[in-house]
Amino acid sequence: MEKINDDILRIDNLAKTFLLHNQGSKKLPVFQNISFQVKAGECLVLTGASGTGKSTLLRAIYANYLVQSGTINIRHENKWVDLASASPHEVLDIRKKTLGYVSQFLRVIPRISTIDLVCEPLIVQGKLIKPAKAQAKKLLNKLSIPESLWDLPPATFSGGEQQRVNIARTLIQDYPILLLDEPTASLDEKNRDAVIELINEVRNQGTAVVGIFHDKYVRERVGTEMFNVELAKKAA
Amino acid sequence: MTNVLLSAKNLSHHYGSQVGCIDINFDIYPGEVLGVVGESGSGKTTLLKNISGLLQPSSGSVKFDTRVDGLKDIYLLSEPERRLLMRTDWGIVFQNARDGLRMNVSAGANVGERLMAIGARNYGNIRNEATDWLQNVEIGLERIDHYPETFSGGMLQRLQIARNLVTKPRLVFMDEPTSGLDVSVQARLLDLIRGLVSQLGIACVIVSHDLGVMRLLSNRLIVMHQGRVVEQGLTDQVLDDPQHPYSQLLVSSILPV
Repeated sequence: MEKINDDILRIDNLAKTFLLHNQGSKKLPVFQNISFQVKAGECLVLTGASGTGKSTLLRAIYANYLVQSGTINIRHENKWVDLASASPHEVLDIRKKTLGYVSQFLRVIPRISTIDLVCEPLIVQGKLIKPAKAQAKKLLNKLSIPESLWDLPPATFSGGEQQRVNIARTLIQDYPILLLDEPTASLDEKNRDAVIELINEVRNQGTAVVGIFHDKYVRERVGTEMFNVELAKKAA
Repeated sequence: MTNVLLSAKNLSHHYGSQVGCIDINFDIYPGEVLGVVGESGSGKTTLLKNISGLLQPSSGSVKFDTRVDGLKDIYLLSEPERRLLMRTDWGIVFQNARDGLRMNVSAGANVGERLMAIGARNYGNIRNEATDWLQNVEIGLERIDHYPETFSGGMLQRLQIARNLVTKPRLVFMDEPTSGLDVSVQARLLDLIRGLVSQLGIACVIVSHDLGVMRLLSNRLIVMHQGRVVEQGLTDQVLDDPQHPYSQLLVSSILPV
């Protein structure tokens, strides 16, 4: 009973198939019967070879992809909401307050400076510009983005710099649940370690993390649980 | 959940035997940006005219949350009531800025006029407010007394936006606001619209065939095809995991940069 009460995310019997109408209605089944739970303060690592559907699963949890069946129950403001059947407005509210997602690549917005891009989630929440900027600066420093770059739009940054801006943009807010898709993929050792430290910091503060980390070194340092998507698919 | 701002129910429009749009249903909530995409001739502009009071639909209803009486069918309002609504609570940004501006009065007057229409009379205040808004849309103050005729396409579009937003409307309709502008001007305008909409909490219906614009500006997306809504949902979901054959075709047809 206690176990259930601790859960913050519950995935039950999730199935995803892509149907490509314009390619002869080809069906691409990705996964089915995926079930797991995550508690506050846990970091669940999704494992399995490339192409098994880990990113698709993560995107499905973020409601970026629609699923064919199953439920994605998430504790949002002390209520359970099923993301798989929630209205767009509910999903937007959950993404604003409860569920953060760091994609593999930063989506650059023309003309918006790095610092404004990182602050944005806080401004949307109604936080004042000054404290929001202070927080963004702290985070950018931690992630070793040189101050000379803060006022520039990140379009011309290196892959690793863009990825760190992407991480800062999500981690600036205290989301109860974080989805991370390869956040350390193109980082050097120093920055990789900084990201590991950040992830463990928010996890210790009670954030539940679901992530994909191909690097064994990272996996061993942030993961508290494992979920092998490949094996789960075979069992299904 | 807050109240619905605008509600379209079973909306259809026919031009004689020609189909404009068929059986459209959606709600818009305060502060959200709704994008409408689809190819030319799919009924986007007809729908926008139907819901913005410019063209009475053949059937169905368009209700707006009026300040005094709550949800009211806009085509059952009296003409003066509807005009007042269009001047105060609504803004309409046309694809062709010349359709939304008065070309024979100055830039400042174009912005001030909307204020006067809702009762502002103090010339100094009106001019100050017009000045502020020209600054907001990045038009140099030395241009305040110039005629729009002397403005570039991008400036005209920004002036049109200033003219619409000066009365702090609750809902703005935009028809292809960035088409016909070159890319750098487009980026500037998008940045501006994005900032203003989020700062002022204005709800917006934006029609465009540019999916990049939609990803940047809209929270929700409606995909139209041959007059019908074939798919609607969260913008990123519709663009990343489209379900309908036409949406899949639309998304897969974008040329990567």
